[in-house]
Amino acid sequence: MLEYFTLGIQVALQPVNLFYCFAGVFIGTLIGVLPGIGPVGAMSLLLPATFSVSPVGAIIMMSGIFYGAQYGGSTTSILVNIPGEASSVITCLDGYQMARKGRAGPALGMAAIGSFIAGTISIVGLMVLAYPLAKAALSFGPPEYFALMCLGLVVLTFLTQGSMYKALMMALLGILLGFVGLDMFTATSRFTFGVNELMDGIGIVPLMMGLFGVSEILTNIEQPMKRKIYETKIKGLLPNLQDWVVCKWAILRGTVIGFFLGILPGGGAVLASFVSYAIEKKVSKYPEKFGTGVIEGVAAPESANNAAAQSSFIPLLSLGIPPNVVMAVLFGGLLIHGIQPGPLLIRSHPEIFWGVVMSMYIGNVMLLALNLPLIGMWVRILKVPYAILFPLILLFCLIGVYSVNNSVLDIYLMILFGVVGYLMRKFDFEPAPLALAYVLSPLLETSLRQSLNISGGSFLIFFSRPISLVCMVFVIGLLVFQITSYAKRKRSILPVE
Amino acid sequence: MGACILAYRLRLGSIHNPGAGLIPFGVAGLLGFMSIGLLLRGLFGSTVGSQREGMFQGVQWRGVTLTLCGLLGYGAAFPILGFRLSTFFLMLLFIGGVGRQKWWLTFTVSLFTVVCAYFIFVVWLGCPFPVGPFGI
Repeated sequence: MLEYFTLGIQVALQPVNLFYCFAGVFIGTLIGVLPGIGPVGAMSLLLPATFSVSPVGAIIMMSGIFYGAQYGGSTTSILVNIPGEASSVITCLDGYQMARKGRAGPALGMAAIGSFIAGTISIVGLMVLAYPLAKAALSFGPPEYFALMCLGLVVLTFLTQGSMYKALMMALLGILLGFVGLDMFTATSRFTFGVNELMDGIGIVPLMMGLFGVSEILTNIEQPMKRKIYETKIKGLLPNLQDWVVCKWAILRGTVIGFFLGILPGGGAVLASFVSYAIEKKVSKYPEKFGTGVIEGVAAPESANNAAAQSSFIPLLSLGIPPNVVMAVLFGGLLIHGIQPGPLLIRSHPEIFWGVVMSMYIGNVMLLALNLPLIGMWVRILKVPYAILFPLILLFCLIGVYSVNNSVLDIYLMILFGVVGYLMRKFDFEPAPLALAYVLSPLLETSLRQSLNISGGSFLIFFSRPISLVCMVFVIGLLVFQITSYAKRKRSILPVE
Repeated sequence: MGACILAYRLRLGSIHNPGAGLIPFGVAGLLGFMSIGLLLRGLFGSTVGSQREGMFQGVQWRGVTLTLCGLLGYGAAFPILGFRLSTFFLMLLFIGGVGRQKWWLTFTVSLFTVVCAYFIFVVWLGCPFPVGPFGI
């Protein structure tokens, strides 16, 4: 273990990897600060730029973007009342109220310090859990993988904000889109309509950029492009003693909640921030004050989203299953670099696993430096008009998507998925299940077909092995729960009608 | 349903030995049934009309349409006009047309963006972008 630890430090401290770590957390903070583009869009955008970079450098940078965005997201929530990132939505409630009371500094400071503490504790958890989990996963067969992926997708659809029915439809559509290209077993081309460029399937970059980047921009420009920054002088970033006394348990609770929700399939930073805020309000002696500028309302969700951001690497790196859509992009990035995430990753590429883990420590320290003394710079960036910002984001999307295969078809695919994503938002269809299902589709199909081959066509194989049985029981339980609660809702509405 | 037909043509095989089309057929079929369910719920639901009105209320279609036209136009012009010219025109359209900024700001930012993008992507990262007429 100690030798791997040393190897990780050596890899992370290489000047080139330090540069990529800094670039990642800097871009992540920028993305988090700017409303209109999230870490998924930014990571998809920069994926082509990492092709000429070593795999470990690329993953260090991409990871930095993800956890950096969790730090930066709080800045806009506190100062502008617009969340820069979905996981910072809940921070608006108390963060903005604190800014209005002239306490923007302590709010920003507590968000950054809480994020640092939670992120660091979560990395220790990642180191402790990932290795034994990967060892256990070596005994997993196709039925276990299939059941785990089904569980991930169903949990994600269950946790989406809108209708689970629509989310399930999106997951099915994502799986279907994943079938485009050559069949891995028979080399038959499927749904390519004679287009040679589709033989390798629909690229992950145009799909993600369209669904998360272009659609987000279209949603933003349909409204007048003006936003107000609350004019307040940011002074005294360090919270006072009283703040520390009330926040220490909030940070710890947020860290624990975030860590476990980050590991769960379908969970992630967004869910963690909401749950930790709700729990903090419940355990508080003055729940009625939440929403009026209580500092625990900033500390808890910000700690939780950072802890979740780090712990969601556990299922990806140890099982090879991305638990959420951000990890799905990272999964795609690893595959593009010729690295198969999964239980063998830690053994066959220890420099990647340990290098990335160690870089997270360094990244967290860099983020603390970026977010406390340089807060003024981020506030100034917020003042750049959106009319100038959105063309730049779109241009990066266009260039990024073209440079993957030097193909104009990818540009058209991105526009198509952008329009689809825009309409999906309008009709309350979530893009996350589609994106995750699309990434999991080849693995899902392979493990299903292998399982059916092993069992001689019997679906009972998924119920005859303990791990897959537990997962399938959860899957069926969640679906039954959803159907019965829908039926109950219907019955309670009918008498009124 | 179209995906179902296409999947059926790919050879379904058997449950014991699934062909290339079996799982796509199942997924497309399930999606088709769920879509019909949603359609029926939409047709006979009571709140659909008001919901649909709310969805597009206050949408500034000019910006959305211009942006989409610009993106599609960029895809078409990129191989013909080359990276620099098509990017410059796209920026003019987005900043001036959609963002409605002053002409001098539009021109300056567009030019600056093209120069920066050229140095980052072509000179530094070595992306092989198409060159336009007269080598521009």
